[in-house]
Amino acid sequence: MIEARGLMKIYRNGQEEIHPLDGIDFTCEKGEFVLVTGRSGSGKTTFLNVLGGLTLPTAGSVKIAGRDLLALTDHERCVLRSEMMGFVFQFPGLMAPLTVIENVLLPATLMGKVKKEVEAREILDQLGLLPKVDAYPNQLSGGELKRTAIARCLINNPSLIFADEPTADLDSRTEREVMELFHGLHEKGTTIVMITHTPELSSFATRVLVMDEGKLVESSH
Amino acid sequence: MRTTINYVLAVVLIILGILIAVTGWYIFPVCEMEGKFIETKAGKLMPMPCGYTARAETGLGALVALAGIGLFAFRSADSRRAFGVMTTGLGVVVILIPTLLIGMCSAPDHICRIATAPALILLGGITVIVGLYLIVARNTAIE
Amino acid sequence: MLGIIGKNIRHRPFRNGILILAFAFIAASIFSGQYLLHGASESIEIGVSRMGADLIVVPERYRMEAMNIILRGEPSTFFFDASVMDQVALVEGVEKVAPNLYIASLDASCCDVPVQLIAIEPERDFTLKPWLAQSQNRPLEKDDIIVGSRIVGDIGTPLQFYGHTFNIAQRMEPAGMGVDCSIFMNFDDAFVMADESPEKAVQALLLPEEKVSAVLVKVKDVRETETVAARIEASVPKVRVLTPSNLLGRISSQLTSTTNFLDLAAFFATLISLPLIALVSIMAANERRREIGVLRALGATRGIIFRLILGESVIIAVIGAVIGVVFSWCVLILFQNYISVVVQIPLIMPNLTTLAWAAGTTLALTIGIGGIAALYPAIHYSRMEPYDAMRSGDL
Repeated sequence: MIEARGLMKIYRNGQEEIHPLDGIDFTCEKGEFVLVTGRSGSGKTTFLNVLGGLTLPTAGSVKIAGRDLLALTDHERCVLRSEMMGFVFQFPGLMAPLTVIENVLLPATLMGKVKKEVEAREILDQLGLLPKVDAYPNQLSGGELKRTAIARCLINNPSLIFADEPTADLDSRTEREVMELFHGLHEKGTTIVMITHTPELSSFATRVLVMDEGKLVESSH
Repeated sequence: MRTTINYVLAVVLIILGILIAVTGWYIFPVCEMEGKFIETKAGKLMPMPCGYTARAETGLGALVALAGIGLFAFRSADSRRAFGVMTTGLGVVVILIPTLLIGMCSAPDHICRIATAPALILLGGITVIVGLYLIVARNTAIE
Repeated sequence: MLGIIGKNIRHRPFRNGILILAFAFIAASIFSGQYLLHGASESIEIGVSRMGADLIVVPERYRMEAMNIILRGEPSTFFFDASVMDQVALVEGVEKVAPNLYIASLDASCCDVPVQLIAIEPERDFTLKPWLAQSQNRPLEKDDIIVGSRIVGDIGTPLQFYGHTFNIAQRMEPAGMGVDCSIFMNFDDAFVMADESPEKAVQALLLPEEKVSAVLVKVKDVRETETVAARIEASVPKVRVLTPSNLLGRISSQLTSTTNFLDLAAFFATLISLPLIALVSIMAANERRREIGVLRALGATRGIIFRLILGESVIIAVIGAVIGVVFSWCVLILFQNYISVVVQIPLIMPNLTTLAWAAGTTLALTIGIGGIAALYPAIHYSRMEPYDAMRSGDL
């Protein structure tokens, strides 16, 4: 599903150079659930974003379902993202003027698809957000914001999910529920690459990797 | 934010009220401010129609300003709509006074006709618009 | 997409409200300039074309007074010998002539400012018929008067001049020029009024016999108007000929300075507003860069982001432009007479086609300004990589 070779990312800040990714090789088969852990600032988020095509590597290559991201145009990458991928970021990233259901439907709206309101309500129900369907982001708690973002990620039935600390602001019970949701998706065949600081969640994953100073190391699982 | 819109409209109404009240006396002064009166046979000096209009508008302007003050004090949705109805009505009367109810001087080139009356009509129109907005706008003040 | 833009605009009512006001101000300046320019030009064209006469011959000494009567209705009384009429009639190219008497009234009962009384010979007159608002198909009877549009009084209302009572028989359509404050009467009635004035009026009116104030001329070939005018001035002593072009010329210098002022105001309004609007657009887009990054991650193409940012600015510009045009139009209509008096230009509301054109160009210019102001942030943020936008400057 995912094939990355020699990934490097360099940021220049005046004379200073920062290497969040320092020559990474990574493969992920279809249907895997990969967990990536590591210290803060180790480059995990950059890694995830490079895999998702949200930023291009300074060197190296990334292939998603056999398609070389660097060979695609920006437009083609957008289409690939909206058709295949779902993203959950560290911050909720919801649009403040839109209601919960409008935010969840956003990926479908952007693709010009017929509104999937019924599916959206089902997903929100699964995440316990049905009472908040018409609420605005400023009326939601941190946990509710996160769950809305997760619902938004799922609306286009992605075959590949990139999740950056999806359970960060959640209480342990909700964290468990969300992880079981991801587990359920994984069981249905969705490929998941997730970043987390919580080692206890490794039981849900098929593989655990550790990121350290721009390099990826396989951990015992 | 919605409460702030209320405050803005309240200030707008107070300003409108003041302007309506003083237009005929200071902004586009009516004939008696230039010493023009109607002289009766007994020799008494009486204001011309524009003078009575200006007096009436002073009263109306005070009421419009009062509506603005009221909007500061009473912020519920129903109060807002009630002030809207009152303001709309006041705005209509502000327009009717110089046009139909009292009128201005008959001389075509007098300031009262070509400037005072249009100014009052304009201010009255804006007052009506503000009043209508207060009636129909959704999501009134959050208490 | 429009739904998202609409919600975005409503989400920041104050900032966008101020932007709308800025655009409204720009639109009002542009529209007002065009309105006044066209309103004045059309007024002159209509007024001059409605003169009915192609030329007006007046005493050389009273040329300015005659112009002011026609353009602004500033009343005057002056005369020259009626034999001038016969001399003018003989000039090559002249088709017919008609006499006018100009008399400034005292304070009239209808108004407390003097108005211009103009005596005509209804049988010879060829100028008034095109002006008349309601054709009653009856000749001007004794003591009948025809009043300009700004004289107050209904048909049948009696008006007194120099102690003599007249009846309003007809009213003219507005021309935005002097004739709106004028009153037309029979020559005979004018002389009766003058004869009775020593007893009935506050001040006697002296109307000498065999005198006229102006001779109205219709030429055989309109294309030869200027030529005929020159011939009349050459062959008839101590007269001046007023032509549409010299009437227009008199107005145009005042008009030019007024419209130049308005154009300058519109220009400065744009000059000052454009960078401010651009700055606000940049700040607004920057504030939402993380949101833009997320949208891109969700599948929004560069084109969508570009259209979102530009679209928001354009819609705000449209709303502002509509408000600006409508508001300035209302003000211009309400204060039309006041503006005309203060700026000393004739003014009527331009015809609907002109208005639509003016509104259309104003809208287009204002939208253009809105588009230009948002162009940089639209391009810059749509080109950003999604992750860079989301990072908001941190690594």
